[in-house]
Amino acid sequence: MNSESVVLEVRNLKVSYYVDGSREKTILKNINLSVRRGETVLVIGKSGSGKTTLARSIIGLLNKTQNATIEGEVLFEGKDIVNAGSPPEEIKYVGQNPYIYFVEYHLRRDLEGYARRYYGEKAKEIVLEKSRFLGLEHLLDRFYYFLSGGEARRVAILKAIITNPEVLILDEPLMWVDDENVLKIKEIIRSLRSMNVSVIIFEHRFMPLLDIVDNVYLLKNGVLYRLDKNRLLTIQVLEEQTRHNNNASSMSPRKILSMKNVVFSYDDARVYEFGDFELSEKELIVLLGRNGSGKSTFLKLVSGQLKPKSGSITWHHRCRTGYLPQKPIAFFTEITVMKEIEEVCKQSKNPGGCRDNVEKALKALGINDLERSPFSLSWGEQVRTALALLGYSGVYGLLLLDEPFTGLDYYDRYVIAGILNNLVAGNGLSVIVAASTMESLSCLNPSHVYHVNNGRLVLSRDQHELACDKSIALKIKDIYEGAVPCSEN
Amino acid sequence: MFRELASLFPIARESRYGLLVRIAVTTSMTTYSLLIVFAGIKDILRVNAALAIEFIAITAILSFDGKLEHYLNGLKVIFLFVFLGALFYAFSYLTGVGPKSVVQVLMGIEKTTLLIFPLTLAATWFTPYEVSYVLEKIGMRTFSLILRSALSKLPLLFIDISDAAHTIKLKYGSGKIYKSIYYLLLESLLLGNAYYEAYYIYGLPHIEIELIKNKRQDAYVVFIAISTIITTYLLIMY
Repeated sequence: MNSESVVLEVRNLKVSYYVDGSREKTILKNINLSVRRGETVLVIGKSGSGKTTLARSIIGLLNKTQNATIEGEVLFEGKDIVNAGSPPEEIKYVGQNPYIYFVEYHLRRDLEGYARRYYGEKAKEIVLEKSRFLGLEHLLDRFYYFLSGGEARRVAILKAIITNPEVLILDEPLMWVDDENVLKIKEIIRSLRSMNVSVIIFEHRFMPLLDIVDNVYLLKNGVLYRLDKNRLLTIQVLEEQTRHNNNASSMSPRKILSMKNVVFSYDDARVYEFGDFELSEKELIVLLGRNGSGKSTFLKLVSGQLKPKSGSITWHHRCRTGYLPQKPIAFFTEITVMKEIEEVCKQSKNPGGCRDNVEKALKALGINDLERSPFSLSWGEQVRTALALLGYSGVYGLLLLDEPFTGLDYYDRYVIAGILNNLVAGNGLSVIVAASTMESLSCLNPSHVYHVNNGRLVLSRDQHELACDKSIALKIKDIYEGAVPCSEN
Repeated sequence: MFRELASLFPIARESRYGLLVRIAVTTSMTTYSLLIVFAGIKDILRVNAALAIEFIAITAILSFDGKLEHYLNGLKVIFLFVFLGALFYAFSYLTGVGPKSVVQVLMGIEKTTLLIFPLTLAATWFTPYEVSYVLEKIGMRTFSLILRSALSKLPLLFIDISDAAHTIKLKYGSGKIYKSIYYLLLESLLLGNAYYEAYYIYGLPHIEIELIKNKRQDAYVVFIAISTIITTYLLIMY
């Protein structure tokens, strides 16, 4: 850090919404936070803890776009942001969905058009200079919606720094980002530090970021706690050490489907040569690959949404397939969780038993209020609810899960891994999990791991690479629960 | 299907011609079609000739511009509507409420096609970006803003619809895709809100268009296209 001066200060910030027209729900309670010039701050917390609300409050978005009551102050170099008419140019924000920051399909055109407003004729030069600085020059001639999650996020950060902001706020920058892109995003954050930009990161997948941040805070029940970074670093080391001690589950002989020489291509010339693949009953298969490597395409081929250009897919034992998309919210169709259960169980041979099983599973997973709308559940709750419906209803025999660990905190990941292991070992289901990072797979007990590389499936020879140390998840849970508010530190 | 629709959007490939020449050619083609359609020509051979000349002109120009494939793909979809129109004419003829002869039915179909050609040309040749630019220049800034904002997020919406349809099809079986309506409504609202936030922080990028790319080449194209059309029109009418 080059300077000790405070650039951004949050004082006694309280944010509340009116729920159902009259009931006031407080999201943030008396938040205090100071960020120095060039400092990198990490705010962690479970989904639904208020991280995005705090991020939006800091940029002054909340009272402009949502009906929220805000008390307290957010000061940038002493000037109030919350009540300012327009957002300060010195603070930029990149939210959870990086794709919305592009207006033109063609990225170079979008970035140059944006830069032109500030630099006029020098716009092209500035965009080139900044993209070289972040190593993103090769992406400039792409269309924004063909970018992978990690690429889109990096280009959104590029757009944010075109105007040389002094503070950059990143909300869940590692969401849907594979291990390689995590390193690239970390590199970008390091570069921003070297430019003396203060960075505030809101993220629950925080382990990979610990070595590049100065301070770590936990947001829990609307209160901000300062955490001991060294304690978290110890857990990180533990996690890395235990990634090599796992047991593979026993394999089942009955084959469900086999694929031979399967090739698929999209109109934009992406070609995936998946080759051969087999799936048996009671198998948990992990497809591990970078963003854009073809994992989702593979799941769509298995589920029949896409047809192979060549090769064959043969079902030896037909079973009903259930699918959990990357955005778990897209799974839900009904007004309440109870109605979801009823609709899914209508398809069961034993609707009564199905309802009982799903309700029991939901209770065990902490979803107690079944009259709640599934659309209002947190990300982690939505994944748990969807898995209970898919796994315990008895309707589906094969589950295809596209990035089920994304958007979850470490404890939720541990819980979800437990559910999946149980569905395979206990309930006899077959499961294919697509994942972009090893980190998210801790505690999973797969039969096989396939690496997906530019559409090629390569069976991993090491069957024991996914490790589980329950104590890590529990230690993080302890830190969450035992944290002391900032004022008491 | 929706994913394929999303992938149709890269039609925004650069044209060899400047914007002005494309506007001039498309406008003259449209005017030509309108004149032929509303001139009250009774001779089907003349309409055939007009149609053939227009098709040849468009094909030649787009071949040189490297956009013929897109145009022909676009025509495939358009011809579906022409076919439906033909069915309508045929039905009207058979029930005695519309045209009184087969020749009139054919004339109706050909005139419809004559109008469709330049519309397809416009869809192939102009990007949403250029349409926004033109709207802004003629003083329709608000409309331009709405169009740009809506079009910029269409690929994302198509991808969302595709994912939702696939998930629900597997969850409940075919025929229940309508059940994704809550999610899609919510997602549209969230996307709209997120887009508003992005617009609030970043605003819209400045539009930069090359009105003329190659003076000589652009001038040749305009001259050839307009003179062909005028000559053809005069020959057909008189």
